[in-house]
Amino acid sequence: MRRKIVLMGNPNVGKSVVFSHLTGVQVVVANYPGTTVDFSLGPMKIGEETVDLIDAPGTYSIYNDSPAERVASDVMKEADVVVNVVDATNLERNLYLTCELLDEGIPMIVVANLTDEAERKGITIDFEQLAERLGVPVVPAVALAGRGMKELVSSIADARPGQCERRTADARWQEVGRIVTAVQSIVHRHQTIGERIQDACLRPLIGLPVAGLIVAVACGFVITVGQFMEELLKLLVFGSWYGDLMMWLSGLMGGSGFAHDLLIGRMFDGELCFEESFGVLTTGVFVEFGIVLPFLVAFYFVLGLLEDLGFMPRLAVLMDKFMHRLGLHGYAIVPMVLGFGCNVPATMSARNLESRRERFITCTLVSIAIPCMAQLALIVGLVGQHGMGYLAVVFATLFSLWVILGLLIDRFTTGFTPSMILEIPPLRVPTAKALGKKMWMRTTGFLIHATPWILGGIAFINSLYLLGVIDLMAKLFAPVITGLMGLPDSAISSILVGFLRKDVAVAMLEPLGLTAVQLVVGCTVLAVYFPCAATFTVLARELGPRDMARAAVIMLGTAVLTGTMLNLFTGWMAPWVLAAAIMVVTLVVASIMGGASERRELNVTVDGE
Amino acid sequence: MMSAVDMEVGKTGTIVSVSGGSRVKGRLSSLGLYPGVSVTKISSTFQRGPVTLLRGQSQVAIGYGQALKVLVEVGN
Repeated sequence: MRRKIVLMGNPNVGKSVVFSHLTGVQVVVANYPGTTVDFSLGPMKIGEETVDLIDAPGTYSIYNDSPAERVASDVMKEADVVVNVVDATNLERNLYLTCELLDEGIPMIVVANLTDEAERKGITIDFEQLAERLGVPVVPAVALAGRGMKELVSSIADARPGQCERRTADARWQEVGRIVTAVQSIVHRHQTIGERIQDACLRPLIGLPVAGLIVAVACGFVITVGQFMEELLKLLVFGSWYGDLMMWLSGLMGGSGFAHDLLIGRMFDGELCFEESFGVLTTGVFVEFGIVLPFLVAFYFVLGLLEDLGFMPRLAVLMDKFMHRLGLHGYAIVPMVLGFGCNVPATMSARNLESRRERFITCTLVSIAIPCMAQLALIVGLVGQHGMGYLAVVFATLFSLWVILGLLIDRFTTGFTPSMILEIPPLRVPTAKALGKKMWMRTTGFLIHATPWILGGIAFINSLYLLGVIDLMAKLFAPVITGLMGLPDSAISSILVGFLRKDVAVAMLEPLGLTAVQLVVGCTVLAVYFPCAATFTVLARELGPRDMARAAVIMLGTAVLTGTMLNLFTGWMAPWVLAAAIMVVTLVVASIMGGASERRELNVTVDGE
Repeated sequence: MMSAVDMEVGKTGTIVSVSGGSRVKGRLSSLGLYPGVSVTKISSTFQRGPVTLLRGQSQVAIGYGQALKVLVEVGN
C-alpha cells in the first residue's frame, strides 16, 4: 500500500496549484463513493518512494456538513500525512482549520502559500515562530511560481503531530488570535486601485453591466472557437480518414443487418451521414468527439479562466437575489451560464450545489429553457429569416419558461434553500500552467465518465428505432404534434431525431417548408421537450431514476402546453406584440409568486431558530 | 445594535450575536464570523440581495435572510 498524503485547506488558497506542481500527468479525478463530490489523486515521488497525493475539496472546517466538506474530512481520516495549505494573506481565518486538523493527531506540515502577495499587502509573518507554536514544520511558498515546492517535498519526512488542544470553536478562535498576534505584523496601507475596482464589482450598478459584458464575451469566445474546432475536426477526421474507415467497415459487415445498423447505422444512397446515421460508431462517436468535445474544451478554458480570476463568486453574489426567487442559490447561475455552451457540462457542474432539491431545479431548468450553442445558432438562422419578431417570441417563451417553471418547481418541491454564505476571494491573475492542468483534468474526466453513457444512450435509442418502437411512438404522438401544435406530419421525424441531436433536429425543419408560426412552435418545442441523448444520459446519472422521471414528465408536459399555446397565439397577433405580452405576463407572475416564496423562505428561516 | 442588512456600507462594527440553524452558525463561525469580531460592510445588493462583510483579510457574502440575523454594534 502506498502512503497517502492529503492536501487540506480552505477554498481558494492555491491547493490545486500545489497539487499540480507535485504530481505528474497521471492524475485522475475520482468521484468519492456515495457522493457527487470529486477529488483529485495523483502519484508523487519522495526520493525513492512513490506516494499517493490527494487533493481534498476545499473546506473551512472539518466539522461542517456540506457534501464537499464531509468528503474532505473523510479523506483526511485516511491520511498518513496531512499537508495543510494556508493563505499567508489571510492567516487568521486559515489557521482555524489548521487548529482543527492538529487536534486529529495526524502527522502534518503547513505550507504558507501566497507569501509574495502577503508581502505586497504589507503582511510579515515569522514562520519559525509559527512552526514552534503549532509544533509542526511550516514551509513558506509561492506555489504559482513553484517556490517552496522542493522544501515542501523534503520536509514531508519531518511531518509530526502538533498541538492545539482546543475543543470548541470559540477556544480555537482565541488560540488562533493569540498565535496571529505573536507571529504576524501588518503595515497599514491605503486601498489600492485594484481593491477599489474589486469592491465596485460587487455593487449592482457597476457589477451587473460588467458581469453581463464578461458573460457575453465568454459566450462569443466559446461559439467562435467551438465552431472553428468543430469544422476542423470535420475536415481532418470525420470527413476524411474516419469516414473512410467507417465506409470500409460498413462494406465489411455487408452494408445491412441489425449489427450493421446498430454500429454503423442507416445509409443514405450508399453514403453514411454522421449527423443522421445514428450508428454507435458513426453518430455516437461524432456526437461526443465532433460536437460536444470542441465546445467543451473551449468552454473549460473560459470557465477555468473565470474561476481562477475569481469571477464566479462575484457573479453568484450579484444574481443571488434573483436566483433565490426560483428556489436557488446565487451559485446556481454557474450551471445556467454553462448551459448556453453545452448542457452536458452544465448538468455536471450542478453537482456542486448543496442540496438534492437545488440540483433538481437547476438540471430541469437547464435542459428545458437553455438551448446549447449549436442549437441556438440554428434557431437564429432558421427563425431569423422570418424576422426578428418571431425570434423574440422564441426567446421570450424560453425565458418565461425558465422563470415560471423555476417558481413552480420551487413551490412544489419539498425542503427550502438556505441563505447563501460565500467567501469572495480576491481577483487574481490566472496562470497558464494551472489553467492548462485544470482543462486537461476536466476534459479527460469528462471523456472517461461520459463516454460509456453517451455511446450507450445512442445505442439504446438506435435499437428502439431499429425495433420499430420509435415509429410506434410517432403514430401515438401524431395527434398531439399535428393536432395541438399544428405541425405537419413530416415534422414528427425531426422531433424524434431531437432525442439524439437537438441541432440536427432543428436543421431538419428547414426543408419542410414550414410557415413562420410552425417554425416558432417547432423550434421552441424542440428546445423544451427533452434533452439530447448526451445530456439525457448525464442527467439520468446525476439525478437518479426517480428525479429523472419527474424531470421528464415536466419536460414533456411543458412542451405540449407551450407548443399548443404558441400555435394558438402566434397566429393571432404580431410577433413583437406577442413577445412583449409574454414578457409582461412573466414579470407579473414572477413578482406575485416570487414575493410569496420570499415571505415563505424568511418565515422558514425564522421558524428554524 | 442593528442587523448587517441595516448597517451602512463602509461602516465598521462588532458582531453581537448570530442566530439561525446550528449548521449556518457553524459555517459562519468557520469563516470567522462569530460574536466579538469586528467587521466592515463592503456592499449590499438592492432589493434584498446579499450583504458582503470584510473580516480581517477576507470578504464573505451572506444572503439577505441570514444577514438579517447577524446583529452588529456599530461604534461612532
